[in-house]
Amino acid sequence: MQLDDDMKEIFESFLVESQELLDALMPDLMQLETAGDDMDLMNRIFRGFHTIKGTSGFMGFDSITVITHHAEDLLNKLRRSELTITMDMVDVLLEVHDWIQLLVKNLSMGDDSPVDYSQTLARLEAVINPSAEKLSASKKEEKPPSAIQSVLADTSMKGAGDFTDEQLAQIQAAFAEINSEFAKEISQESSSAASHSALDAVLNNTSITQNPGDFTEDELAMIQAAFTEINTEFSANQESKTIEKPSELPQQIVESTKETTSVEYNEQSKETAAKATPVAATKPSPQTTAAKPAPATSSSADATIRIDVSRVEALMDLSGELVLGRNRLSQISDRLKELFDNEHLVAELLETTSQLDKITTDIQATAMKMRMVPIGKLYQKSPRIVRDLSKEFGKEIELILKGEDTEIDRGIIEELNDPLVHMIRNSCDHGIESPEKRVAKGKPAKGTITLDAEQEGNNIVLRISDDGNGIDAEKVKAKALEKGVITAEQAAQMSKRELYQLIFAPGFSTAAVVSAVSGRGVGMDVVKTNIQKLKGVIEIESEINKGTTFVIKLPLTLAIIQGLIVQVENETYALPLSNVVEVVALTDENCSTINQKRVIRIRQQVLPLLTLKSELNIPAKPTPSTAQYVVVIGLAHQRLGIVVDSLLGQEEIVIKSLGQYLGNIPAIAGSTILGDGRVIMILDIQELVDKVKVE
Amino acid sequence: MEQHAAANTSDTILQLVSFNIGDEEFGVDILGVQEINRMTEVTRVPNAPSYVEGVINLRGKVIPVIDLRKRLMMNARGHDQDTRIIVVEIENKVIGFVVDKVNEVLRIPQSVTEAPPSMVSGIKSDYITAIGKLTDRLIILLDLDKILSDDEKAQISQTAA
Repeated sequence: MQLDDDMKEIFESFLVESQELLDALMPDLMQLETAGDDMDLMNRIFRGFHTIKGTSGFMGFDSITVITHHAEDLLNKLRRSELTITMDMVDVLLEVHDWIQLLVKNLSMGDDSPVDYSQTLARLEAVINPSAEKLSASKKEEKPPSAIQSVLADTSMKGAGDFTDEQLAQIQAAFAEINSEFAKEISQESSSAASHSALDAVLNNTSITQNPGDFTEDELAMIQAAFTEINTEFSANQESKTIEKPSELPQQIVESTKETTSVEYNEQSKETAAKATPVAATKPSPQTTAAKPAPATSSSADATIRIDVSRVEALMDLSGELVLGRNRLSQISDRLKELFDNEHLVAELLETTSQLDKITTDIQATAMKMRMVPIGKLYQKSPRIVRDLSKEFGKEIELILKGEDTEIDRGIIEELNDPLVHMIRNSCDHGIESPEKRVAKGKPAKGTITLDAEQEGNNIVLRISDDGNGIDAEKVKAKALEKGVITAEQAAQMSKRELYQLIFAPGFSTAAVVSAVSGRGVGMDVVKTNIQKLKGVIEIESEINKGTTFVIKLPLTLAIIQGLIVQVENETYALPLSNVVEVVALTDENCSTINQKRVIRIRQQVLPLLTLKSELNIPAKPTPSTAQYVVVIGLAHQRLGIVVDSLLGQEEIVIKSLGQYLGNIPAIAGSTILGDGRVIMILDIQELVDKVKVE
Repeated sequence: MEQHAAANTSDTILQLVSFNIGDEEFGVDILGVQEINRMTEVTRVPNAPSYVEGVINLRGKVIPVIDLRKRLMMNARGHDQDTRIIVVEIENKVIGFVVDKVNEVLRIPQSVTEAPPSMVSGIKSDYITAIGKLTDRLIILLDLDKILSDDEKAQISQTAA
């Protein structure tokens, strides 16, 4: 796929837009099943597909255009109430959605080869009962607005002189088409005369200007104006028709002129004397139409702008530097205060510093928020998964989503996608029982899976709970022994909590039968790996026959973290606070040795101990200090105690890499600069945990 | 040193920063040198190669510092008030080198330099671009880029092992 720079820009915005539309379509499609008679919903879905069709057609991606077009046929019938929605229809529409998703994904990777979706098309045909004449009529009528809009989109997007030959040809074709459509109507509709002549002028203009790049700003403006006029005429035309027969139709105000297409269809439904449908009486507003030809979501479009991620990233970096400067400044101020306590100027400095402190914190929070997206985006896929799986297993499952507005770093969302899918599958398959079993246990036949997200301090806590089987610790133990994951000796010592964690071992599955969905023991391994990558912690709470809850705790963002500053001999280190589970004092009583390895006993749990002094070869002071504290850290499901001399406090730290030259230093995740200007190392929890495991 | 430059005007003039490690005098191309700093607090990096002194805070940036003495396999020595950190930028990497003493900026004509002998006081000749023969002394011209790229190779083989 060869694209020049201009096309590339358009192509990229096409990808983004299509993805947004697809994302928005998914929940709507899911809703269609239960609210098939909701005309707003139906229109929204139709518009989504229609916009995808329009833009992909303009870009020349025929694979997408063809399949969307067929989906439109079905939706059109539904809108006109010629058909009523069935499960099969939703299924096939979801299939279409999947295909478009695949095609868009392929395109984003530079692959524009066609895929074979003929089966889906056949299924579409099967659910539609086509009447060839009407179909062709609807196709013809629908073209002008879409042609207008795609050309409008193009002209408003471009500066003068940006057109390629191909685009010029496309625009000309669009004009010609519109012109002929209008010519047909002109005898009946005198109001179109003006726009027809405008069109003629533009058509002449474009055919004269054969050379791409020859457009002047004036000409462009003229073309745009002409289009706008046509669009307005078109809407006005529709409106007047609607008003002619108002008694038949309930009127409804719809947001903007981009509704012209839906008006068109409703118009038709009226002519075919079908059942009454709500009609959009659109107020033509040419300017908004010209400015945003086909916005995906109209209500929120004005309040948001699209920003390059790298710019947000740069802002994050800068605000990180600002935090460091702030820290430094407040330390200097504090020292000045000690030296000149009575000085008026120092008091003023302190006041200014604290003000700066507040602003810096706000700037940092705002910069961070720019990267944040509501976790609802993560939930999007789940209703579909639950729907498909409950059908497949013959189970009744209700999915409850909570805390969709909780915001989380977009980088984290991406990494959470796969784990969430696996965990939902897990809950559907292993968690929720069949309706018969549930009834026998005295539970409602319908099982419930709940996704709940909330912010707790600097962490996001995500809970995935089901009211199903619960995990049988004994069964897990037996299976682990059978698979050789643990030895009999180990098994005897393990607590219930530790046994639960065995399900994260690769290749482990308690499912008796390997289904298409789960049982291969890959899923939980994926969950664990991704949570580890995000420096998160995972806990399992379970009760037999009551259900299971997975609790995932993740840092809000990965760039700036809360650090626990610890001291070992003369050296200072930082530990990511989100991984710190607790801190306990090290005493002779709670510390013991198993197999020549030091361990600590904390409330029934035995944790391996790692001594930083020896691990990092820290040189001893002349008068060696005695290790006093054990910092218990957690990564995903694993726990480990780290022995340090003392705790210096908690500080907001900006992670700085050690640079290309030093690259990957074992056990060190990076460095940070403290308020006093000192550089300290941040420990890599993952590598420390791995180290203990290997030993 | 001006008389050297005047000796042959058509000759290319090399501009060098000269410094000492022990009794030997070295020179590096001035274009690579970003700044020269007094010794500051260096944070040790655990598990790093032994010749890595640690990292320093250079106006908000964390940069690695290499003990050139150790890197060139010379006997270790403590720091004193003459100890300096020469900060160089090589291929977008900013790195500090600890040296015993920084002397001066030299301008010498290319013609007074000659290819290095195979071995100079135990230093691998790969790192040496040339020997500058001044009237009263010799200067070893170092290729810091080469030292760094060799380090990386060494590190890669270390991690692979």
